Amino acid sequence: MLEIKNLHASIGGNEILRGIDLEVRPGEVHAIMGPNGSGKSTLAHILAGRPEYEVTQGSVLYKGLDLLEMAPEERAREGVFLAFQYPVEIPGVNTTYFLRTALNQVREHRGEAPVSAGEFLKIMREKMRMVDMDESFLKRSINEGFSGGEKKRNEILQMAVLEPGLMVLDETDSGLDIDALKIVADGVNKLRAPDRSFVVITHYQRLLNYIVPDVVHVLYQGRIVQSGGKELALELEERGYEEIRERVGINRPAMQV
Amino acid sequence: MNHMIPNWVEERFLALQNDSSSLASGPRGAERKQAIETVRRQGFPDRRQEAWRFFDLQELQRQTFTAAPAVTVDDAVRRTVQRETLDDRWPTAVLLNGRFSPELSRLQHMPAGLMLDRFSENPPATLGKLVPHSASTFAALNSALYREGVAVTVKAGEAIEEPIQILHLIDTRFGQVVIHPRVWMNFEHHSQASVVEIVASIEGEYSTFTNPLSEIFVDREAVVDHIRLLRHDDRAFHVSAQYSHQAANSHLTSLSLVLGGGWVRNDVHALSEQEGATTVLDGLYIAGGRQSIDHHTFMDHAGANSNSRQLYKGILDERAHAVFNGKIFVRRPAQKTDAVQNNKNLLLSDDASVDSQPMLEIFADDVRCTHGGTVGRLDLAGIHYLRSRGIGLETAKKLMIHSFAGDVLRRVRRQDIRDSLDERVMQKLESLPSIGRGGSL
Repeated sequence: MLEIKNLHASIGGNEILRGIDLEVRPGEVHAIMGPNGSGKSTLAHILAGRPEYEVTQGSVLYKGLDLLEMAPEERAREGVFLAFQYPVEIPGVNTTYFLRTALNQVREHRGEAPVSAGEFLKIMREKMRMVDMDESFLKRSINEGFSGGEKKRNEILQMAVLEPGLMVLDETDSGLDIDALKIVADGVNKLRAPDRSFVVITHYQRLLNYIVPDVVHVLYQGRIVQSGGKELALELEERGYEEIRERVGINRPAMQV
Repeated sequence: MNHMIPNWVEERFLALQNDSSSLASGPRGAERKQAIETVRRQGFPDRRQEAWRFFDLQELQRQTFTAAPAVTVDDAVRRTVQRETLDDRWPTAVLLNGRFSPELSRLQHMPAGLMLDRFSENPPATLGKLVPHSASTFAALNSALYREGVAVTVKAGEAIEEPIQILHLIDTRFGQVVIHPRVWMNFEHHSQASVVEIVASIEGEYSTFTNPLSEIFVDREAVVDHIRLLRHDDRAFHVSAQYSHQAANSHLTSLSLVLGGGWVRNDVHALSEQEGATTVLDGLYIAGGRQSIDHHTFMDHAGANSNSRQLYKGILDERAHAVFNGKIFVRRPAQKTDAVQNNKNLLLSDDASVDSQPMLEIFADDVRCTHGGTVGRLDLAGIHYLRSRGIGLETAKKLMIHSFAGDVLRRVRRQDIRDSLDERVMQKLESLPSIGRGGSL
């Protein structure tokens, strides 16, 4: 599904990713954990094609396609979806119109007929139940004036509507209280399928109680320094990232000594 | 100092004065002669005058325009009328090169309470009453040279369901011509109506000059929606002045929508004279190429407890330039005035530019007045977000830009008018290189 090899990337001349290798097979859920500044969000943005990041080395294949050669919209149409850590507010653009445009462009790419406004409303109502959103949401501008929780639920809703093959969740748990977290996790779990994979990026183990990963990776200073089963997340929670640093033999930066 | 007026203006004046059958000899002769003297005394403005600092008057001065001749109604004219009319079922007055066309107008089955007429030498008694002596030379030029005007009257207490359309067409096929459209509107007390004025070119190759002057009387408790839509080609010069007057508790919305014209200058003067009036002055200008679009608004509060709202937005591509010069003037008796003014601009290219100058002049002590101006670029984070959901770059940009324009269009109350305007806005947006196919970020 996703095959990342020796990925190096930088922004503004600073190297953030220093050789990532990762393979995600269909149906798997991979968690990527790590301290702030380890490169988690950079990885997410590179998968979605954000133009500010420069890939200096390595490759990313999605279903055998060279993802790095594709425009952001082409990736989305092929089925790569990033749930943003900070969803963007776009005043004046109606949510329903936006999502129907997106769905129809994705469908067009798949060779499917566009959905009418009426059909789309039906789809929306069904998916909105999944993330506990009410109908007033349909009339609002994209993310405008949404609370933190509403923005994250909106991301999951979009994911449910577009039905991608690879879902990347970038710190979807940040800023959520436990009830909102459960709703979001519940939405994600309903989307799990044998032909669909997840990369769940998180700082804390908490989310992984609800979205149970097959593999947990630890990202540190732009590299994956350890991988393991779901119990690795619990270990990290217990001992903190400090312990990982020592165990993998990476010296702490001089300034912090 | 001897002020300059272009030769073609002076020649026209002399011709008028020497021709006994001309406009200057009619019942309006005295007023016209007075206006001629005003033009001669004041001369054309020049860029040293603050109000004309940004307008390329030199380009206008370099041109020579002749009085526009009568137009034969042919296929091109019919096509233009069809294209420019928002709805052919509404009461409509069509003027070709400044002459009323009974053939193209739709004045039969007029709703009760509405009078829509032409006038020339027998104008309404209050014509010119809102135009101050200090008005610009161009307003005086209109008073001296207008040929036929349009008078709209809505009788007291009448609500006119269908919008009223006034279409001014200038023929650009046969020469560099000038027209001076004159509109007089009178909304009696407790009346309600919507008026759409459209100014456009019959497609040709010549540069033209359109110099309209409009007056809008809104009596007490009347509710008026007024839209002025400009759809000239980009060789056109257009200098307009609009004067409105509002009595107690009246409501006037006036939208200036500029989608065409090479050199456009619109002056909007709104006098809110009596208590409790509401005035909405909105504008939307979309320009590319080397188009230059100026708006000067003058919101004059003289009565207490009145509101005004101004929202002017601009979308500029290529080397287009815009000016928004907005003044809110609150006279001493106008206590509890609540005035808001906003100008927002979106620049789509490095070469596009805008000069935004808000001004407040307040002589009352208990008022709330705010103004703001912004100039920005497309929000790249927003565009990336849309693309990350599968929406193509071109569609993403269009969505963002269209929503920027939407803020103004949403304030148009009637959906049928709003939809027709929106269609023309989309068409103009598609013509801009940064939005149409091939545009990049």
